[in-house]
Formats: sequence, C-alpha cells, structure tokens
Amino acid sequence: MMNERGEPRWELLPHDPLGFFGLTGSFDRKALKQRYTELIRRYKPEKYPDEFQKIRAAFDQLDAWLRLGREQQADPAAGPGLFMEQDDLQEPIDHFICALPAPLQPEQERVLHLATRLESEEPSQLYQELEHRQRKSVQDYYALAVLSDLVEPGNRLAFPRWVLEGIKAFPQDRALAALLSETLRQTDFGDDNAAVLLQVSQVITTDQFYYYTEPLWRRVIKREPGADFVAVLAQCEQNLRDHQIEARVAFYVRILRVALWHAPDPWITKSTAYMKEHHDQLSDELEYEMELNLQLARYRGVAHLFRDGSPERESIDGCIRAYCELEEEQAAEHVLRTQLALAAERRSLLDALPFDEVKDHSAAYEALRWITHASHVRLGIDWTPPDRDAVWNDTIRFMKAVNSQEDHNTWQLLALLKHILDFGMLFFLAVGVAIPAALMIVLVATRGLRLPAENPDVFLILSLVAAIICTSVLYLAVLRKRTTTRWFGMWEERIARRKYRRRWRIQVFWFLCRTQYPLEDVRSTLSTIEQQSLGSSKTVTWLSRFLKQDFGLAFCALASRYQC
Amino acid sequence: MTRTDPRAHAQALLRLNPYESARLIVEQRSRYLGLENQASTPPCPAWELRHRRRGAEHALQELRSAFWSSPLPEIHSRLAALDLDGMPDLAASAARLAAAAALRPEIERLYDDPRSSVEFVHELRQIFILPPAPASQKKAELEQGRSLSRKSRAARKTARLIRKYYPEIHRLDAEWLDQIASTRQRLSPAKDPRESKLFWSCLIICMIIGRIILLLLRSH
Repeated sequence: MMNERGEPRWELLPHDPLGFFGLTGSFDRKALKQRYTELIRRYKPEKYPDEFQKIRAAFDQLDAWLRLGREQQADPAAGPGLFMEQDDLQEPIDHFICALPAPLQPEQERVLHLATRLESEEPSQLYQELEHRQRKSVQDYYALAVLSDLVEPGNRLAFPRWVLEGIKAFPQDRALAALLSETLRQTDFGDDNAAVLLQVSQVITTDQFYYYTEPLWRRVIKREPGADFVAVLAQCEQNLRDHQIEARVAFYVRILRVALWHAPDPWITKSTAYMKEHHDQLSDELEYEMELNLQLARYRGVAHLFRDGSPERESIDGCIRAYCELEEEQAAEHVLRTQLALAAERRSLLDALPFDEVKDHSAAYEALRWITHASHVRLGIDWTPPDRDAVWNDTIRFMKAVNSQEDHNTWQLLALLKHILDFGMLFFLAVGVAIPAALMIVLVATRGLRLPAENPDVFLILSLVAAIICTSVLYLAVLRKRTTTRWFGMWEERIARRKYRRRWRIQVFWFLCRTQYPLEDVRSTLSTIEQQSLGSSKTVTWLSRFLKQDFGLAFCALASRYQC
Repeated sequence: MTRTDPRAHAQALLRLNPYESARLIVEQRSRYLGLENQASTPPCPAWELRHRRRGAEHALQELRSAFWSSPLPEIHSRLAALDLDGMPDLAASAARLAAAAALRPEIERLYDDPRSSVEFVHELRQIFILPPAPASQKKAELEQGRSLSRKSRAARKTARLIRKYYPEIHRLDAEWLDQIASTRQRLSPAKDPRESKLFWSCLIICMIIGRIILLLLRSH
C-alpha cells in the first residue's frame, strides 16, 4: 500500500486501485473500508483535497465493483466489459483485474492532435471529416460526440447518439461506457428522455440496460405522464434480448418507490406482483427495499383517507411522498427533520389523530416507521431498543399508578346492575314460563283428562320446577349472552372509551414521552399482563384493547425519540 | 445560452480522458449547454456518513463532559466548529447545548439560590445537556421518584421557583418543568364528574325501586 518513503503509491491510480489500497483479488468491503479510512485519516479532505479526491475515486471504483459482485451489475468506470457473458459474472474479480485500464494512451494522442487542429480549423469541417471516416476509433466517436454540441447546437440527442454508436462499434470499451453512464446520470434530456432511453435499449440489450438507465428512468417517471412511462418501458424491454430476471426485479424494486406516485395503478399492481413472485432472487438489501416499497404502496392506497388538512397529517404525508421522490440521502434527512418537527409538536400530533376516528391509520404508521428505520440505517444512526425488563417494570408501575387513580365504583356498580338485571330477567322468564305451564295443566285437569301420574299435585309441582330449570338453563346458556352480557358490554365499552379519551390516553402519552418506549413494546407488555392476570382489572383490559387501535399514540411514540 | 467559447470548450473536453474524467466531462458539457445538472454531487457512501456521524457524536460528547467547566467562549466556538450538515438530529442537540450555554450564568445563579433544591438543580443541569434518550430516562427516573423519592416536594418547589423567577431556564424544558410543578394535582386528578353522576343516579334509582317494591308488598 505504501512505498519505501511511507507514501501511498499514487502512480498506481487510476489504473490499479487494488494495488493502491494494497488489496488482493479476494478483498472484501471491510478490508477496503479499513484501508480507505487509514488513508483519509492521513489525507483529510480539508487539507489535501486533491489527494482525497484520488483516494475517493479509487474507493468508488472498488466499491462499485463489490456491488457488482453481489448484484451482478457492472460499473462501467471500474467493472468488466459491457457485454459480459454470464459465466464471466461468476468471477468478476478476474475480469476486473484483467480489464482494468482502457488502453487509451496512443488514442489520446490523436485526440490531443484534434484539439490542436481546432485552433485553426472549423469545428464543422473537423466533424464532417470524422463523420465520414471509414474506420472510426473510440476517440473518433468521443470527438464526434463533443463536436456535435458545436455543430448541431439544438440537437440534444447527438451527443448520446455518438457515444452509443461508439459502444455499438466497441462494446468492450470502458471509456465510452463511463461516458454514457455519467451522461444518463447527470443529464436531463427534457422531452427527449424517452427517445434517449429507446436509443440505449437498441444498443445495450442486456441487463446492463437497467443499470445504465435507472437514473434517467427516475426523471422520466417524475416528468412524463404515467401511461407514457409505462409505454416507453414496455418498448425498451421489447428491445432487450439477453436479460436475467434478477436484474429486472432489482430494477423494478429500485424504481417502484418513485413510480408509486406517478405510474398508473395497474402497472403498480403488476410490478408488485412480479416482485413478490421473484423476491427469492433479490439480495437481502433489495428484499428490505421491496418490503419498504410494499408498505409505501399500501399507504398510497389509503393516502387520501389519511390526509385531512391538519398540518401534522399533511406533514407525515409530505414526508412519505418526499421519501419516495428525493435521492436517498436527502430523503433520509427529510424524514429526520419531519420527526423532529413532529416531536416538537407532539400534543398537536396527538390531537390530529383522534382515537375515535374510524379510519385505519396502520398503513400510514407502518410506512412512516419503515422509512424512519431506513433513514436511520442510511444516516448511520444507532438506536438501541429499550431493555425488556425496564419496559416491563415501568409499564407495571405505570399501570399501578393509573389504577390507583381510577374510580372503581363505576365498574363495581355496573357489575351489580348486571347481576340484578340477570336475576330479574331470570325471574320474569321463569314466571313467564311457569304460569302458562300451570294454566295448561289446570286446563287439562278441568277437562277431565287423566294426568300421567297417580298424584296430580306432585306432577304439577315437578312440571313447574322442570319448566323453571329448563328456562334458567336456556337463559344462562344462550339468552344471557345475547341480552344482558351484550348490553352491559356495550355500556361498559362506552364508559371505558370515555375514560380513555379523557384520561388514560393522555396518561399513556406522557408515559411514552418520558420513557421513549416504542408503543409496540408497551402494547405487548400490557397484553401479557392481561393474559397472566397480573393485577388484571378493567383498566388493563380496556387500555390494552384501545392501545391496539390508537395510531395517534403510535405516531407520538415514534416521534418522541427525537424530542430534545 | 453559452458563455464559454465553443472552441475552447471543445478543446478542453478533448484534452480530457473520458475513462478517467467522465464525470467532469459531463459536468463541463452541462455547464456549457446551460443544462441543469441532475446529479452534481455523487451520493456519499452510507458508511462514510456513519463515520462522520461518529465523529460529530464524539465531539458533542466531549463538549458535554466539559460543558460546566470550560469557558463559555470556548464552548461557543466548539459548537460553531461542529460540522453537522446532514445530521438534523445532532444539529438539534447542538442547538439545545447552545441555548443551555447562553443560559449558563443564569443556571449557576439558580444553583446558588437558597430557595432551590441543590440536588434537583444538579439533575436539571444534566438533563439540559444530555442527548434526548438519556435525558428522557433521567426525567422518568426523577418523576418515578427513583432518585428523589424523598425530595419530590423540594423538586416541585424548585420547578415552581424556576417557572416564576427564572423564565428563561423554564423555557428550556417548559413542558416537563410544568409537570413537575403540578405533580400533586397529577397524582390525584379530579374524578370524572360524569362517573360520579352515574353512580349516584343508579343508587337513587335502586332506592326508589326498592321503596316501590316494599310499598307493594305492604299493600298486599
């Protein structure tokens, strides 16, 4: 890695980044990062900007290559040739080492000669000469692309057209590949974006098409009407001849996030189904991204129900949308800023998401939770989950405090009234059955019919007792559930809801703000307390039930981690 | 549309090697054509962001540990020197530290105030400078009386004192200090009047029904 004087071997750059970092062919990300960190500690960007740029460029080359190994995508600036065979992909490192520097030196001289000629000759004259040259070199194509901007100033397609012509003639050339990649990444062709994509698909007919054109697709999706985007994509895919499913799925996963808010519903449904079908071909990273996209797609379906004009909800909706539209880093920052703003206004947030609202906000909550997590990962924020014992102990302590402040008379009174009503119902039913039964027996006796017993009085009493027992059993087994239990259940729920709205909710809110525990942990603790009957009470039962429905608290708990 | 001389532009591009300088070529071309550059800065690798973040966290932590002992100008200059671009959460923590630094003389005055609880103010000083999660944890401990079980009255008194005589400090954590100040009311909140009404109405109805049944039984 270092020369005899202890200096990095700058002369190896840009052609041999592996040698520069002192790595062997089987290097991994950890080793690469370690070497890179060692160097940037020494060559800090503020003190040595040029050296830092060189180190960074070399790192980018190897990092891109590592990604290639995992995702089977080529980095034109560093990776193997554009039109690799599938077998080549199995050993990308060998390819990388063999194919590293494009042998440009003799060609470079020709181009430098062209640059000198431009001092005395007209660009159009030079352009025509190169255009009509029978056997064009890589540098001729490059010069044609450069001169086209001067000769055909209004034609935005000329530059990429010449680069593509060059790639067609020299498919293994990395210089033109790098130029194409950067052009598609940086340039917005405006109304000609679709035309450029079609041009590319006619020349690059392998998996590489997806990799090269992904940045441009993002712009097409945002700019063009959804139906046009779908039509252009279909046309381009028809031109592809030799692409693998995994590259296509990976591409769809990456662009779906942007496409969610622009593409037509049928395309989103179809793409989602396609991704789900082939999810086993995705890397872990992309599988995570797919799950995230599915959550965002779910939210997209109900976004119109979630937005209601309140600033907090608009802010959450805006955050989710911005996450889909912005570049990864800005998106992560935006999410964090939104969470900070929500944390500062968490009482308003709680009010903006009332408990009694019938709408299900789980999709919005899950989408925000996922993008928050993804932003943490992106920005390198570590969040240690709370200790389980602490959650358990604090939740029990909190429930005891809530219980101690509770007015238990209401529940006791309700239970008493229920028993009274049960008894009353039973009594009236028994009387209601016994009287007709007795009348019937008397009627039978007065008509002179013989009762099926030697002692009619005993038979009468036994019949009445049997009727009362049957009625009681019938009531207790069937009718009770449908009458008093149901009525009192509804009444009890109404009272509990009122208690929750007025007191419990705000108590839980402060508890969550103080402890910053995730609501999911508190919910599961309460469920366990309820199941284990540890201090089981109506308060625990109802609180546990309502917390599962209360997304206002869930949003607040998520934001409270950011309160200062 | 263009400011650069076309020939000079073409010559400059032709002198660059597209394999090594593709990014620069496209940037220069965009500038020449007046096109909006869509990706002027390449995204920073995640691990590099993490590296920068660790550095910023470490710097903040060092600042916290020396917060009450270092001279104020030094704290302000160290805060100003922090590079927290792209780290809004750490920027918020730094802003809070800056606010606490601005009030440090005031907080020292509170510390010396004979009416305040020294123990509570000591905890409060930590809370003002801690990161969000540990600060919340400390607040929870204080509220649940783990640390100040016998001192809750003194804490309440100090919180009220701060609210009344040190409004600037109170603004640093108004919500929580208000909670501490009104702990007594919070621990025994007023019962819902409707619940009491329900209880008494049911009791009266039961008594009336009982009375009617008694009257009926007597009349028979």
